[in-house]
Amino acid sequence: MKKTVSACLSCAIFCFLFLTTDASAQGKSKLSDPEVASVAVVANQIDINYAAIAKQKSKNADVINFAETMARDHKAVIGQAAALVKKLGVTPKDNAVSKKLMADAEKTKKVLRSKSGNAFDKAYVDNEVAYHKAVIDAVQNLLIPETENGELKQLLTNVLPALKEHLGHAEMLQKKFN
Amino acid sequence: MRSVAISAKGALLVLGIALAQMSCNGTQAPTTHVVEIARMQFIPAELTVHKGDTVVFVNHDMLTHDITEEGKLWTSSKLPPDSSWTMVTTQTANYYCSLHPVMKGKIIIQ
Repeated sequence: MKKTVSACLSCAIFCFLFLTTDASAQGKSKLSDPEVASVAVVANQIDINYAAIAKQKSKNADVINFAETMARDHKAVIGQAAALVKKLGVTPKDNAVSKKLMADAEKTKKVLRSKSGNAFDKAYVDNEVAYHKAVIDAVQNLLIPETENGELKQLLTNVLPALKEHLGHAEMLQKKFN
Repeated sequence: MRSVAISAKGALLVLGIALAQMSCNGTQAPTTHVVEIARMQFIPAELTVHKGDTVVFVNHDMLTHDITEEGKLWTSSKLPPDSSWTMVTTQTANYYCSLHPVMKGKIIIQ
């Protein structure tokens, strides 16, 4: 069971990167702006969902504080994305990447829910480190380059420092568990 | 470190009183400094001031932050985007955002 979270997560991240890279490599099947918006919203929602589990299961004040920050920040990002797509008259469009992300997140959530105590805290924080690394890579190297609308591109660019801070925060916590 | 949450009008009033006091007793008037919060950073991250100077933290970021002294001697309340918090400096302080502990800053009393 110990390896299940990382195995599950690795699979999800691999699929995330593979699907987006594959779409980019094929050129013709690159993500449209409505699809990029959908991936961005789904990626944020997934971390909000992980945070909800952490707030429910963890007794560790630092982990709970981190989870509350993740929920607050990612909700704010979704709010800004929602305002932008409304302004642009764009409807986020489900696509293979967003569907796969959500499906894999369900597996990770199931594994997280099966753990408790320190094992849960460690699994949650490890997941956050890996997840933010994957999302930063995808936003930086795939989503931003593929976005055509300037304002959507700017929003994704503005989110990057927050994602990087979240990663740094998660790594600070991770050191306490290793 | 004394901290107060005041409005922009309040800040101007404090500044006006300080200027009036300076003209009466010849002491140096407190200066108002601005620390911008943007892109998950305090800008400038290090600020040198005179004791009694005012520092206004303005949140231009897309997320909520706070300003908390390293030893938790003082803290602002949560600072939503496009809001500010004002404090009067009394001693050198290292501070950070307790919501985002990677974000750090320092106020140095000259």
